[in-house]
Amino acid sequence: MPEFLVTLIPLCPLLACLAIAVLGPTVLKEKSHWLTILGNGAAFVCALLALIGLTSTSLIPQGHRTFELYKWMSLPASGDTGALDIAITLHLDSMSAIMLTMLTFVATLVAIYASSYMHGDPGYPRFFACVSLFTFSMIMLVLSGNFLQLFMFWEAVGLCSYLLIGFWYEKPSASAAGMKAFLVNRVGDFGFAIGIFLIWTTFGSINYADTIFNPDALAKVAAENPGLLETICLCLFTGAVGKSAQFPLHVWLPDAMEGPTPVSALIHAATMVTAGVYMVARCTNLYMYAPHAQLVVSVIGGLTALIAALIGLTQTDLKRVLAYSTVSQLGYMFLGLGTGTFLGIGGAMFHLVTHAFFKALLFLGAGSVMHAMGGVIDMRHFGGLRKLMPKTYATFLIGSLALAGLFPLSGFWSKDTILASVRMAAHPEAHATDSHVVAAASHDTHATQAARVEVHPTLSAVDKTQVTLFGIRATAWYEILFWAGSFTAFLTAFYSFRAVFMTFHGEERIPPEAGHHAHESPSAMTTPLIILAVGAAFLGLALGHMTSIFDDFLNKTLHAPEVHHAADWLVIGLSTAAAIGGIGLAWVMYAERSGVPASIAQSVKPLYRLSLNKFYFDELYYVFLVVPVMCLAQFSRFFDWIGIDGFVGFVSRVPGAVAKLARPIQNGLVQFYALSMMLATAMLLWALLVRPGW
Amino acid sequence: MLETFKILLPACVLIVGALVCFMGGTMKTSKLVWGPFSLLSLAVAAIALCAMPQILSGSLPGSNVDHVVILDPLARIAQFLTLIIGTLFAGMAFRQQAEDDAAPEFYGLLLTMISGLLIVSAANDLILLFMGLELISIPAYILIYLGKRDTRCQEAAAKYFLLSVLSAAVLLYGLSFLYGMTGSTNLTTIRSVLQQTYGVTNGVTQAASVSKLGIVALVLIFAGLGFKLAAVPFHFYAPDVYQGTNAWNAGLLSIIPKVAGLIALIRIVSHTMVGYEGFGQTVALILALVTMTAGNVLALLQTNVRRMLAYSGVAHAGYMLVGIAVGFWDSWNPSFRLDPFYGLPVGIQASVFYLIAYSIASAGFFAVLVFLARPGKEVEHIEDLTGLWKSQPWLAIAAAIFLFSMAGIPPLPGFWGKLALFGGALSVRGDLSGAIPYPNPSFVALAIVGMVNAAIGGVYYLRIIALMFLHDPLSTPQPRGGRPAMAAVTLCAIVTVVFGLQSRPVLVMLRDIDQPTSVEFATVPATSPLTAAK
Repeated sequence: MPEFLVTLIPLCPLLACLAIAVLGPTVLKEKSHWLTILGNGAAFVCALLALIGLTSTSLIPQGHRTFELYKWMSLPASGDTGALDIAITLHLDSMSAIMLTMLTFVATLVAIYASSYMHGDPGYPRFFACVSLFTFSMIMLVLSGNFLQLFMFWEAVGLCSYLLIGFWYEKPSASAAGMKAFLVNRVGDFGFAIGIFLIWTTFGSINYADTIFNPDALAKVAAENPGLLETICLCLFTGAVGKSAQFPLHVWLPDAMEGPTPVSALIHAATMVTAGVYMVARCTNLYMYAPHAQLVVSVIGGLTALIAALIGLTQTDLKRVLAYSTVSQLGYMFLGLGTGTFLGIGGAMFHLVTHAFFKALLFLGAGSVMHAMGGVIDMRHFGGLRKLMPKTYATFLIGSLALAGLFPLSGFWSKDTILASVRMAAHPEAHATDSHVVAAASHDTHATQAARVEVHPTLSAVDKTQVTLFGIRATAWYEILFWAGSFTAFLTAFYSFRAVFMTFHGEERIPPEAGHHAHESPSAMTTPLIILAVGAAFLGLALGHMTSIFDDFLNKTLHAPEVHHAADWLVIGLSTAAAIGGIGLAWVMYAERSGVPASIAQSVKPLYRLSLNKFYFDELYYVFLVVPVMCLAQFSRFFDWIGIDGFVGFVSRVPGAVAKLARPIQNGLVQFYALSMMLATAMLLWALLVRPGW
Repeated sequence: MLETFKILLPACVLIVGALVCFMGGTMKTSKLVWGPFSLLSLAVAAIALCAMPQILSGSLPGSNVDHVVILDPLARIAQFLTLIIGTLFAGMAFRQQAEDDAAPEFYGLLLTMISGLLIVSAANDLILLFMGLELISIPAYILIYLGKRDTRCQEAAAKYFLLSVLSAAVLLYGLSFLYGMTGSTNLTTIRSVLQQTYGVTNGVTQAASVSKLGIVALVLIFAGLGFKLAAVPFHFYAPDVYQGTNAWNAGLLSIIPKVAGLIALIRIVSHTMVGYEGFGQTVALILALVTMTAGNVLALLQTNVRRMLAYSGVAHAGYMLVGIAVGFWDSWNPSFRLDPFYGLPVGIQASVFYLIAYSIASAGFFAVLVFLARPGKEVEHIEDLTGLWKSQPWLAIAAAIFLFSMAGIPPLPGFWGKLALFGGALSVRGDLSGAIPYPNPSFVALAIVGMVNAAIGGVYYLRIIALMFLHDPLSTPQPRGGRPAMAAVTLCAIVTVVFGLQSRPVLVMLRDIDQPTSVEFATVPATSPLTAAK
């Protein structure tokens, strides 16, 4: 019974959350983590079974399964408005199964890690209740079968993120960071909501089955009004920009590191922030008809990757380095998604999975360091920890190598695929005769056949070579983005090894906050690190292009006719060179503490300051957004006070005044009551008899 | 005859139960026996009600014109609702009555009231219906007095008695006109007589041809039942009586007469008085406007919980009358059927839906008050509820659920009810001649006034919620309601939430109630004055 199995996936964490919320503070207390671990673990088992079920053609022959759990409201179409079905629908296909398995796996490991990391915290049950709630919300987001549910759980994961960033709410910086994350996300969600409204008005439905999985409806709308689909895609992408911390809404993610480190690993690196990527990949069929929107996705992604990597170069807070690296890697994913080829989308999804492993690993490693250093996370205050914390060091090193994209670790395979897809998009003519002619993605094989007639080297149903943005041809954009991406790969290798060398190499230095008990973390923390390190090391080799397991499985959703591609040796060579170059440069500058970095910083002081101050984004936003908004808010407050409140106050006093006038009628005299009743009856009679025709 | 008895079996069970209570009370028995005994009676009645289709197998209700009772979907829904309410209130009183010498009389009276409501639900005859209404009223006089037994309670009982008797007289006067016109007390027969007399062809009645006697009957019936519904200006008793008696009685009075009044109104006027739809619509419209507005506006000022709930009950009666008004329009001209508002039930269906939603939320909230009451110390001022969240978290959550439902916040049933009622009013197209294709202005005005009223209503409901959740308690309550009252609160809360989330089964049950089941088969007695005149 696959339905039951799929329903269990969100149900387990939900039950865990409810049980902890009710029993946590009184009964469970320091044992609260067991429920979270059990709930997440059970969800992982179910997700894995569902994944295996999808690989077998006999169990789920159509390759996907949609079913309705509960229908709250069903309003049939009335007049010129479409029908509105509000239901909880679960949609399982290979794409959601991949996300689910990755999500529940990481969530289980993080819960195990957190049981030790959060030990002794007064909010222990609250923490695990929130983590379970997050897991549930994220599972429901991934399994959504309609846009409203997607939006609802999109907001729910945002809420969990807010609750967990501000987990130590008595710290002003933590509650401010929570608020910032929430507010910045509002900007994106505003666009996202408009996108969903547009989908509803355009298609008359918010179900996936009637919109993105209905090639006929898509083709019809595209033929009638292609600009509308572009608008919808851009609106949806706005939501993704907010949730996945892309330029210009990336400013909340680094501040989100105020939350407990397991949260940073789970929510702000591995899972929630990838929701935007998942959503855009989910809507591939829609983006197919929106070549401009695709180009925008790529450009924003590439730009974010570069900017975040540049900022990451100079940060001294270990978690912030990782946060900017997350922003940068998410940029890579969007870069791949925007190419609109199976190579790009598959690469982005694969990068999503490998990134979840190595970034969760890096964050948990950073947490392990922070745990040992008594809460200090500034890399200038400690160093040479590799002897003190050998397990953390080894796993962190593997994570960094994967992040740098060194062969054969997992990051290499996925990043390489994305760069190859961008290069392919830059030179479509060189690949036009290649074997990977990809047709329109759809669940309907009939439509796939129809779309295959239009031969294009992309998933797009529209010829993209003619698309321009700011007067520059798409191919030229992709050429620029390819080189920017390759340069970012170099920067990535550099900053990640800068962090490794500053933290683990050189002479051993321990901050006074750590006291005497600076030691390797307990096994509840190191075991998840080791498991994740194994994944980060071998995932690419096992599932990547060598075996093509991942691509074949994902293609059950995307339905590209050809998923294999010839190795692009230029890309492989370039990215390997970038990785080794970056690591080498970091070795020269940071392996031993020397004056080299300082002197370089001195010589390019303006650039250094630009990077150190995060390109002054926060300041720019403060001057150009926060200050005007504050002014507007002050004005509004004043206006509200005098104008609106004056008026509304007046209006709201009317019922009260009327009531005061009417109250004396209720004088408690029964004769009067009887008289009123009779008078009223008489008046009604008069009205109907003497004045008929009322 | 046997059929009648079969259909009234649940009511008979309760009457027997009540008699046992009255008799047993004279003997030396434990006070604790009577609560469980009344629950047992209610359970037997419920079984009888559920088994009704089997009991009646072969003989379809309504096939016999002269039947004084009828078992249509409306009756079944009302009877189920009645038994649920009866069970809730019997349960709530457990703790209170465990210490009361009048316990057997108390439960006997309650069972009598419930059986009266069961009779009203199924009555298809003016006499039986009126008798059912009196079976509700008369025990109420005594129950109100049994509540507190102080001078204020006496005053409340006396007021209720006097005004209730007056309204019963008015109602009876109206019914006598109806009898005089048609020569029958059977509702089915009355309907056929009116139909034939005024030549209702294709559902179109000429307003000029209707008898003025009928208009008098209509207004008097509305006035008499308006008292039961607590519609303005027949509502005066409600605030004084609710405040004078205790929470349990106030809760009972806020629900049982309202259910009886609405069902009787649908039966006697909406389903029977063919040809008077236009007049009925006017009366219902005026009463709805005045009742909603006065109820909500006056509730704003109240600081006594029961007084506020009395006015809130008045306002809810106004909302229900909106559905009655729309229902008149609906049966006015069958060729211009209403566009069902997004497939929701409209008109009378919406009214009954709202009645169910209101009854459960109201019973729940009064159960909260009963739970919090101590002997001689009721929850009087709304500030007595301050900070309830701190001392009784679950109780505060449940109370908030009831208040949110009454205020009409989605996804609770109160929201669906209001949506259906106002949506129904908005989907009325055309005027009395039914020919104009745009929305009827008076119904649009009704819907707008209703929505403004819903907003005003939000103020006083949310004020209580704010007091419960956002303030620190002034004193520690020592609730004495005990487990049964708590169980009633919990049950109502669960039902409210589930009902809001999954209202489909009720909607399906409601689908058939807006048309009388019996059609076109009645024989008109030759003695009818109207037919004789023709």
